[in-house]
Amino acid sequence: MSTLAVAVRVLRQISRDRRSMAMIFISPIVFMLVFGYSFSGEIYGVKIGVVNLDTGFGNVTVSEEIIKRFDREVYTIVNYTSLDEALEDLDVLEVRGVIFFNETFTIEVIFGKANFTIYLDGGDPVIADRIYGDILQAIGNLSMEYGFIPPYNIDRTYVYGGEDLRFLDAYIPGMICAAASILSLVLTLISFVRERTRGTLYRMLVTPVSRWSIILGYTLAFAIIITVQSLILLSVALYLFDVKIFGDLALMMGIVILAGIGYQSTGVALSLYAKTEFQAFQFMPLIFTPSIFLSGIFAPIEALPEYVRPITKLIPLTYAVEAVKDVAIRGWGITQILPQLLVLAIFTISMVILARLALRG
Amino acid sequence: MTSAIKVYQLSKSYGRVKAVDSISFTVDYGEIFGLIGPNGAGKSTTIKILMGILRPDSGEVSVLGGRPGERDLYRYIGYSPQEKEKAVYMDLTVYENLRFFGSLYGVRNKEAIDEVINFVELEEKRDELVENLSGGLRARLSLALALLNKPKLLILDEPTIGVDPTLRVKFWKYFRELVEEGVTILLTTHYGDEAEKCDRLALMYAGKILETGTLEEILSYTGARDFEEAFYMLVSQEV
Repeated sequence: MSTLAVAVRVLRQISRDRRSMAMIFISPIVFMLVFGYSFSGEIYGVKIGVVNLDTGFGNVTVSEEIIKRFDREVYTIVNYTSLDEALEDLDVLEVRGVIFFNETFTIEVIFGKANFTIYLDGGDPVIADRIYGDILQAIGNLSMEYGFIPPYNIDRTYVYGGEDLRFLDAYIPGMICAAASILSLVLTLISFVRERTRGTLYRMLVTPVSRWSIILGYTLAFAIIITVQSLILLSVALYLFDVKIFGDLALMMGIVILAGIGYQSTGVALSLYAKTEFQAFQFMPLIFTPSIFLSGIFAPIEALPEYVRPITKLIPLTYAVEAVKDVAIRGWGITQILPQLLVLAIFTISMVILARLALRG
Repeated sequence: MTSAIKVYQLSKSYGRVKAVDSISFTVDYGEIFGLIGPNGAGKSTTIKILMGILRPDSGEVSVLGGRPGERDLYRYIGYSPQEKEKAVYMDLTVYENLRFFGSLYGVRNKEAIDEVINFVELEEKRDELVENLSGGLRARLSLALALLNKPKLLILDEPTIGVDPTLRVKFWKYFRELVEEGVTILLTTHYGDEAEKCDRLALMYAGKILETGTLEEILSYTGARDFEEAFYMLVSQEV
């Protein structure tokens, strides 16, 4: 009952605070619009699998000539001996694409008709389009060097998504997760700093209520807010931008709420270090910048410089965004996103405990 | 057990500043005990230690037989802090504040809330947002919150600060009624006339207790004619 009382009281207060209400309703829409109309990125270190069964003709192997022309700064080539093995790795995104050359590929080129197949993870259209474009370019370069246009037929197969998957479809699910998480952190941080500065927190702490009830009351209130925010974000995405969600919507929302609670509890813990609301705002660049630019929301992790990538693993939102994308775009179930969920659960539980400890201050 | 509060050689510093310097006093059950002194004397620090909000550097403290900060102890203590806004939710109504804090004490019935609203005469303001109330009305709400759990011990930090003289008279009428019902009250004030209304006093200055006892005992010890003169004489000796 005490937990419920804290939750009801928190919700009632927020509903009367114009600034907080504005953050709940306007910010998600602004976030979506900004995201919807902007994006850019450069790509490095994409792993692609090659199954090269081409035996060549004489001392010529055309498939190898094509592979040689791949930019090694952009691609890391992983060689496979069987297509099944390569496709298994593509299924779990160990590689982002697989190129398959059959045994008679070079002979087919010489005799005027060659086929080869590329398998792509269409869940990330930026990378899929880049791989396809670079294959065409490699063939083009080869043609220019040898002075003829070889008769290729490239068969594209997508394991997830597809040619009709737009940039927005691929990135909006992650954006929903990020917006809900960051906004819940901001709202909690400000609410808790206000509780501290106005003395209401200490007044609560000198009642028989347990500190866990206070923390869980806040968590419950913000779980409700995060759900409402996510539904607004989702509605804007579905009805204004016509975004397609391929996976389980409930699982996707579950991930968003789990991440949101983790970030909300981070807000409580951070409030210990802000004596005023103004000070609380000073945390924002520290939280926003890495979360927005380094968690794979706006661009794939492969679009980040190599030296920055380890940092992405330290940002909890990276795992949430990855899991949400896997569910929304690739239609993955709970077992496939278990590693990300585990990291998120550890983060969220740790932050809730940290928030509880912060109440000692 | 005769003492509701026992404080022995209590000290607390903020950096180099000694806010409370080895003070000792006891508050007996069924009395109004006043911690009297000017701003910065160490009254609020002492109260915060008694409420478990601050930890002392040294010394021993017992409140209702327990240690400050023990959660179960708060069931029996009513507390009104000194903070300007009296630590209430400005964007909730009088009734909503009482209902919220009541639920933290397990007090959920409307009658109990109405009883404290009537006691501090806030019936007409029960549905007003606190931000629209005057300082005096907020002080009344703070007292109502302290009374919600029918406490055995009331700890009131400057309960009448910012309260107009008429209301101060009413407050003291409330305090006397509560003591007659068996409640023990520890309060702080810097008003001399309020010192005269306490059963016993501790005069605080610069973190130290200069003297404790009834007003008569203090006047007799110092040879002063009234409280203000006694306080002035004790401070002069100390300085």
